[in-house]
Amino acid sequence: MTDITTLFAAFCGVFFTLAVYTFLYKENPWSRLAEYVFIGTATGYDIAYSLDWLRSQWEGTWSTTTSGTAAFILALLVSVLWYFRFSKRFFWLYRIALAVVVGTGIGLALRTIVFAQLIRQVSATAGLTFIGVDPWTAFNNLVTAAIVICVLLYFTFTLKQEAAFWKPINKFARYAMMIGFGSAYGYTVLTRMSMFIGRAQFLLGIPPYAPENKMFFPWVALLLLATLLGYDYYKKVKK
Amino acid sequence: MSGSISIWEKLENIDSRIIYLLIWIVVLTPMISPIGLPVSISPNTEAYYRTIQNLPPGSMVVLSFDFGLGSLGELYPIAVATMHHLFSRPIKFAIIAIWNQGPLVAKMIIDELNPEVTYGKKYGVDWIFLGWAPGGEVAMRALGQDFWKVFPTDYLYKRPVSEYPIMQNLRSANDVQLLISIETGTPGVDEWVRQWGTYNVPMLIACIGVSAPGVTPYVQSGQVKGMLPGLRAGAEYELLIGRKGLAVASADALSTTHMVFLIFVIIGNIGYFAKKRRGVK
Repeated sequence: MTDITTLFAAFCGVFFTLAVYTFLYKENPWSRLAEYVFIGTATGYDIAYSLDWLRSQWEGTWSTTTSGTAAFILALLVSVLWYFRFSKRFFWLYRIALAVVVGTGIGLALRTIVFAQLIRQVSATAGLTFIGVDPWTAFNNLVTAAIVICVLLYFTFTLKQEAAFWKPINKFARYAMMIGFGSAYGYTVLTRMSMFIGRAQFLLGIPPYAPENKMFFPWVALLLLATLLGYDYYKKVKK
Repeated sequence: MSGSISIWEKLENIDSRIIYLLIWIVVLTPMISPIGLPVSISPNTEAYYRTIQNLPPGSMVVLSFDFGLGSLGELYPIAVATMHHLFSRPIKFAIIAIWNQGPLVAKMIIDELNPEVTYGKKYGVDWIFLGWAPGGEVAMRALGQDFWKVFPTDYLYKRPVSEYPIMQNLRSANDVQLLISIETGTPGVDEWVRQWGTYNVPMLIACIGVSAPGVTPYVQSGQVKGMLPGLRAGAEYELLIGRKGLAVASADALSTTHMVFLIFVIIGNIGYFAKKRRGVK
């Protein structure tokens, strides 16, 4: 027999999933409740987990002789400065924490960004071969090279693009970019649908999700639908 | 004439709630009664599979859970399939997370797989769960230099990592033969490439579909050996490893929803051009 905790967890999961989706009907108290609960839970988890991680760094014991303790305490002090964001008088202290984080991030990224995110891509494009490969790969490489060159020329604003030969180049570049954006949009649709499908699998209790979800799904859906329609009717009558 | 224009106008301004309802129907129906539409294998999925499959015995792999519960629908099946694949190979691997909800997901999968019973893999010898490393890109850099400093203890038993045999061979990125990141966004592939690219560690990326255009340049430049973009790729991967799971179960629903989207895009365009032809603004 299913224990009460599993049933309660299944009910909560189904209820909050469907409550979020009631937003598709219109903005309503159920969707707002689900939103607030989600934000509260996520924030609570973040805080609790971060504190647990801090504790794990000393394996549960505080010691002044542990190596790196001084650096760790300094990091903790800097992290506290974030909270001065909420003080008008000491706002400037918040800027110190911000500067440390931004400075560290930029320093780390700049060390390798040129090689990892520019030179490797440029050399990969420059290394495209058209001879000695199968016809399909050669065609593919040719299209890639043409797109890269035309799109780069399209964004070369220092040249006056008035001559007649610029027109087909710019047109090709525009179409290539539109195809690129279309492909990105297609992937966006895929992601949204995949997330929805994941929730649908949860609602239907497909393993590894709890089979009890399937039991609650129709009843919670009916309950939410009835209350939404009732809420609408109440608002209409009140007007 | 005016009658046909009003039909197109109606189709163009169709109530979005009707579309939502239709999507609910086309998602739920194939899940309740599957159609079994074919799934073809793409070169990216093949490369992802081959890279793991061709790892020499005893290789060290780092599997990073760089996503939260919000992406469970798309990445959970991929994560399960990847872990099945890793456990089925004679290799060693460490599970880490750069996102703080990553350990939650990893723990769910470990409980589901029960690797000791299913694959006879011993914790601390064949695999280890190190947990969350806060700091994003900073943590990636620190991990590259010294795993022991970032993770003084493991996640499951909170024991010092020095006590585990697997960790004797995992001190820095130089000891790693493959990095797999299952990721949603930032920190993710850009940061891994920046911080671990210098170690020349081969990388595999499993990402949500929306991130695929951002990962593709790294695949083409050879910085990433293979990628699984989204649930559809997850279904292909499940077929390759011979374990049909949640991704294959969702393949029909993915196809039907995309068909509905295509139909609405076509209707919208027909409506637009029909109105344009008649000179209606």
